[in-house]
Amino acid sequence: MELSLTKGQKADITKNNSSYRNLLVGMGWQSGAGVDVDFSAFLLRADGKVAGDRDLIFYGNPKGAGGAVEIAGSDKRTLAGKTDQEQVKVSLYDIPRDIERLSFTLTIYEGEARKQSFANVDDAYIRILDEGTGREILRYELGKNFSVETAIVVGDLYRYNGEWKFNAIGSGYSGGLGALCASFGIEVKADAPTPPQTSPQAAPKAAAPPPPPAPPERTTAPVNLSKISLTKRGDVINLQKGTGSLGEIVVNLNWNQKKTTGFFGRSSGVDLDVGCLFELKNGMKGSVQALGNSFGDFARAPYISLDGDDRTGSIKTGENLRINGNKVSEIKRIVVYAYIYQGVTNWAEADGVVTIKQSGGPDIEVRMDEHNNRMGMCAIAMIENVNDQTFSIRRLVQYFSGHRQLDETYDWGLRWVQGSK
Amino acid sequence: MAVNLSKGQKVDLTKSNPGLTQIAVGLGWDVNKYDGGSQFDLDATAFCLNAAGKVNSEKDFIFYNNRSNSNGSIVSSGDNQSGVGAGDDETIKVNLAAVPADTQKVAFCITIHDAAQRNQNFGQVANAYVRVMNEATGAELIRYDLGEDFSVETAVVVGELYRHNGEWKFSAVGSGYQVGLAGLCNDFGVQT
Repeated sequence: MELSLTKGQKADITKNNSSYRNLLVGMGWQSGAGVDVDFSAFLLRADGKVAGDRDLIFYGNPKGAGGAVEIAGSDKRTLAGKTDQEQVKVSLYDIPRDIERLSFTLTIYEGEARKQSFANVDDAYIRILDEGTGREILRYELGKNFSVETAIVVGDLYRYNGEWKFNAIGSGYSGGLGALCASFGIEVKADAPTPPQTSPQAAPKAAAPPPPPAPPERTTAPVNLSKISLTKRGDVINLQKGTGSLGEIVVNLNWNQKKTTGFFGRSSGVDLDVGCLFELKNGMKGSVQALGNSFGDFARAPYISLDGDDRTGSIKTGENLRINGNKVSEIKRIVVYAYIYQGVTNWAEADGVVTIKQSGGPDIEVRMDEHNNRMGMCAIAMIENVNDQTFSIRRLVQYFSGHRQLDETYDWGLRWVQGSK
Repeated sequence: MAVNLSKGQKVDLTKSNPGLTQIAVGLGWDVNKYDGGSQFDLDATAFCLNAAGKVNSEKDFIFYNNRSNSNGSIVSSGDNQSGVGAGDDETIKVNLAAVPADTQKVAFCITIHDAAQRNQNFGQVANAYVRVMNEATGAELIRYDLGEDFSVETAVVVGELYRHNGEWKFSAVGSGYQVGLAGLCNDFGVQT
């Protein structure tokens, strides 16, 4: 039976069980549509500050403490019957002596701007597992005691008298990741997102691929906490090439389901669906979408699958298209689109956002922030093969009356008939 | 260098520290650095107990509204509600030689004000400690890091000063409670 902690509680990790050497720190949460929660960990010295920017472990810097602390990414394990959203591997005895404390934190991306706080996040927890046995050592569920916080310190692993302990913190700041960074001694660059690659890619197959986004300077420059946003039509970025394989690429569609209902009224929300047209190297073409029940296949052609259909927006993670990045060499191009299946064509209210997630690289975000309410379909991004090595992603955000018009615009050549799901 | 209190430990005060007549119990903590929570207000209190382990009167309960015992031998520095600043935030001074004869024990307690309403406990208070000093020399005799040994508690009986064969000894009680100051008052016979 694992130990369940309350806010403020401290617990021994290694004192009573010296076999705990390699831990997994798992975290999870449920956030409403459009609430973007990020994980990060700070490696702190005795003065409660980081030694340098490299001690902030986050999506842009997944490994630290000489490799003793590492975000598990796609190696996440399902343990004690639960899959964590984030898992961090911690090798306690490989952590350099000058690191006294690991602070595990959650932040809401652009929480202030979007008027969101941890009051919008449910069921957040942290748990510590023994990597060897998979046993859950302790867990802390944060509950609902947040109001203005957009950044919270969930819990700390720390040294005390030569042992490692854990402290359930559950407190935070209203200033987002920036405030957290300030409290831990990291200078944050204000309002300077990574400039997106703006050079349009005229001939993607022949031209040299545009350079990957410059990794943030880790020595002197302030940390840039922005994700990469493709903001202009035609912006192109390449997915980062990791050590060999691209892994799974998740295209997530999320939208706000505003409950603008009267007392007896029904929700007049929209049903937004994500889908794509694909073209493989072998000439195979088709679509993956809920309409017509074409859910695709991840392991076999077209190497793209759709998670399921979220008709209400109530599934908090939205809808996901998964692209098998290991099959990049077999995929020629993919155009990702969203369409309104039911409800009023009101893109402004839907406030849709597509996030393209890759293991080991920054999330790439495309917001549907130009609206055309006469059209029910929006092409979001073109994903194209670059030298069979990686994909380039180009922002489209262009509206169409339907599949046929979109198909013609991008010269796909499929035949279209009316369908329903 | 002070010893970190070991729970249950009993130490001679006047016997091993000849000439020790004045002790001071100091309490310190840091302000809440987080947004969205309440400030911490810690209180140092002392209960002057008779042989039965109860107070004789309300005068024997030294706290923010009653800053000294009946003859002024045990005095509180007063109520610091914020914890702002370095060093001890509250102290209780004891003139050992002048403590009334019917006071057999003095129990020193640390409590968090309004802990239940503010959803606070010692684990959330940064750098909360209590220490016992020789007031004449300023030497620290005993120190307790409250946040490390206690976390879910809201009231701690740090230790008891008690008479033994004509000397004063100190017992490191180190009992934590989740009942706050009102619960402690109940235990020691103070009507609240």
